[in-house]
Amino acid sequence: MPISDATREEARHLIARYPVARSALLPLLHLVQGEEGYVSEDGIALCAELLHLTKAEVGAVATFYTMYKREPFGDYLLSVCTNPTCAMQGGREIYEAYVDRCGGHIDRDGAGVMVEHAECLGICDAAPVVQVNYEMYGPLTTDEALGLLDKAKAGDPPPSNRSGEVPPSIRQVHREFSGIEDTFGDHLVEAARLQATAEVAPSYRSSETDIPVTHPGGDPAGHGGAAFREVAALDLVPLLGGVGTNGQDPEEDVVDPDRHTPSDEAEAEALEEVGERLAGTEDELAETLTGDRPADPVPAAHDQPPLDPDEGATPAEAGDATEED
Amino acid sequence: MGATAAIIAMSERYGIEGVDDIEVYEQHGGYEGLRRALEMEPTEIIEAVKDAGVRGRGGAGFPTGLKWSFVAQGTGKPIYIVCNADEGEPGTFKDRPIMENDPHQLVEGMIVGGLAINSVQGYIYLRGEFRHAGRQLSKAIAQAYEKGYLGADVMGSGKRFDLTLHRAAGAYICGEETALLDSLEGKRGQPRLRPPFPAAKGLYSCPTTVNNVESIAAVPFILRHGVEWWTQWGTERSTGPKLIGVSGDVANPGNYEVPMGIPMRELIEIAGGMKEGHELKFFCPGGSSTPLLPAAAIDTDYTYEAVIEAGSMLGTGAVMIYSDQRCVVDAVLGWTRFYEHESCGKCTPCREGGYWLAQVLQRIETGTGTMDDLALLQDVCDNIFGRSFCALGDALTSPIVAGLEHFREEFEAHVREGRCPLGVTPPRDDIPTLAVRARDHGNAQVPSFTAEPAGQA
Repeated sequence: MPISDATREEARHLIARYPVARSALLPLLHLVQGEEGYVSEDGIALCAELLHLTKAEVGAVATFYTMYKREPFGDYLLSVCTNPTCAMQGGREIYEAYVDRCGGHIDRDGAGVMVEHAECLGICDAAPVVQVNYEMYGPLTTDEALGLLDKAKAGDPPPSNRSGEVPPSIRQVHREFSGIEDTFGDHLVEAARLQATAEVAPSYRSSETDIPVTHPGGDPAGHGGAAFREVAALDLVPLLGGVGTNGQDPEEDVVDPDRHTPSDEAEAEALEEVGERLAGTEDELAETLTGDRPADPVPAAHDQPPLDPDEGATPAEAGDATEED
Repeated sequence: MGATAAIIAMSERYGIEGVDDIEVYEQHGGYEGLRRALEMEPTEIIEAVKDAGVRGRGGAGFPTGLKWSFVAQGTGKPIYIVCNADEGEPGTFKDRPIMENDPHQLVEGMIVGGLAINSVQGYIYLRGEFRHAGRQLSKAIAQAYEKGYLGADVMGSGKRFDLTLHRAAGAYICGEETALLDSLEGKRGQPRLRPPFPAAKGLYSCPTTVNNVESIAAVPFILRHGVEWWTQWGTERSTGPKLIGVSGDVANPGNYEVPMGIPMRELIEIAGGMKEGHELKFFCPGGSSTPLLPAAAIDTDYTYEAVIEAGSMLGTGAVMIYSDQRCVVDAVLGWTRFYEHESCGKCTPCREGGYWLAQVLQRIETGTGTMDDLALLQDVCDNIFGRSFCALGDALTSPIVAGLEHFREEFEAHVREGRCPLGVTPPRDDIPTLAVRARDHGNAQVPSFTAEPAGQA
């Protein structure tokens, strides 16, 4: 089922809330799951198109996070905590009873439910805990938990005994998670516009973990030689006389050995004290104090894909355009 | 449900009806810390946080003020403040109650933190599963915008600060700060190589600080009540009040607030003592990543330094209490499966080690392990600890190594008896015990150090 135009528009608005477009990927995946009840191929294609990524890149992200489901199941997701504290209070039995009653993890009868085991849901005083569409219920006996499952299947879950809220359908919940219903979105669009046009704008590339990409939104500096030089620069730059990376100010490339020494005496003491107690922290602090490492790349205008290819809008203009709506 | 606590400090507004509404919040001292902050220089705010000795409440205990002072200034890039609200450490529930009960506390803290490091944009990276907390924060941020605490002109000061609520999508590893930043950039949440540290290059390669919810929420209180208010609790190196979650085999598991420095035995008493008929066997002082401690360590003081001395860490304030009816191998297996599930897969020791450790523990718990397996567990752990990319790998080894250290006898009993001595997990019948397998292979020699399983053969 193709994603609706309305959703596409909302996706554009979400993208404009971030100074670097790709940040909107998790919200976008929530949004498309909000429309279809799961993340479909169409949903992935939409995210890829709007963020100028490949479908493989979007798929890699969608499969990393447990809240994105890759097949339709219906309206209610039941997550049973099976982490030790809940498990010992009966969580494991609840999970097994659920799988038993549903004949697997998905039962499309009635409203349709998916059952999953969850890791610690952060409400251990209510152990054992079950979430229905991310509303908390607990503590539950196995019988109570089965009753909850039956009500969810019937499309009529009771209010949470913790928040007092009745969980709406999974579509509505993911729509909410996308942030599109947050009423302060326009402020964020303006903020993103200002950041994207800052003196030195935020950049897409920020870590060695990036997947090499070759299309708009990617880092034209590449990830092979350039990234390597960057690492080498840490120790070798003084030796090499400051190999410039990515056309940055060569001065910044030179790692000044003096900068390893904290200037402030008191701070140095504090460092030492903390370092004594925290393994590895001393190095961390010293490195932090050396400040910037060379290599920064791409102006943000490249990062924020134009909202409409025809207009070829810069992020700034894009921000304005959305705001007028 | 407030923290019915030994003390009431940061939880002071938990019980107040409607305090998630901005007007009620204002009537109870809300946004006074921000008002003070606007009268101060950024460095003065940082100094106050340093003087108070606030240490990061997310697990590592890194001094918050010091962290803020490292944020690179004057680079021309935007500076970001990111709140780590991805609370997921097993046993932890102290950030979610802040956000659900008193969401403005965090919003105010973010603005003050932004002022301290000259940031114009904050992100709250909220654990996706916390739907109610998300609702509360969304409402609070919207109200703060309406009232002019957020936006282009914070309280008429001419300073800009915006706050984005970013809901995550389920991955424990995103609680690691660089993985969080990658996730916030729309990528798989995998940790980054450091350096560069976020203070120099964090979000979008800009100077960034990442702080825990409780650390950030503490700052407005310190500005409002003064540094002495904060330091009236705790010890020299571990100051202030601490929100904790006590769970497991206690009479009243719950979210409590305690002064740093009290003996941990009192944490159990605050939670109503042990459950009827249960006796303390072991506990985790701060989540499953902090090595478990035997009952004998319960008189340790609840401070960063004393708990490290005792062989564990303060962690996230997740005090998990286990009684004599709980099998330590079962608990360790449960946590190991958790880390196995949550490993991001980036580095080999953690990705592969978690899988194999869970297999080995599973066979010990179900009565098909050998004495060699105990050495194997230790060996695999030694090869993960310190050799994985981020702290998740180290954390993975914590419960196992500590379990073997303090409860080796119980591991051995599983092997000797060919079953869980406490009967927590039924012995497997699909995999025969060693003795049975030996018999099936023409009475092959069973290694001499493996005792004959009781009732088998």
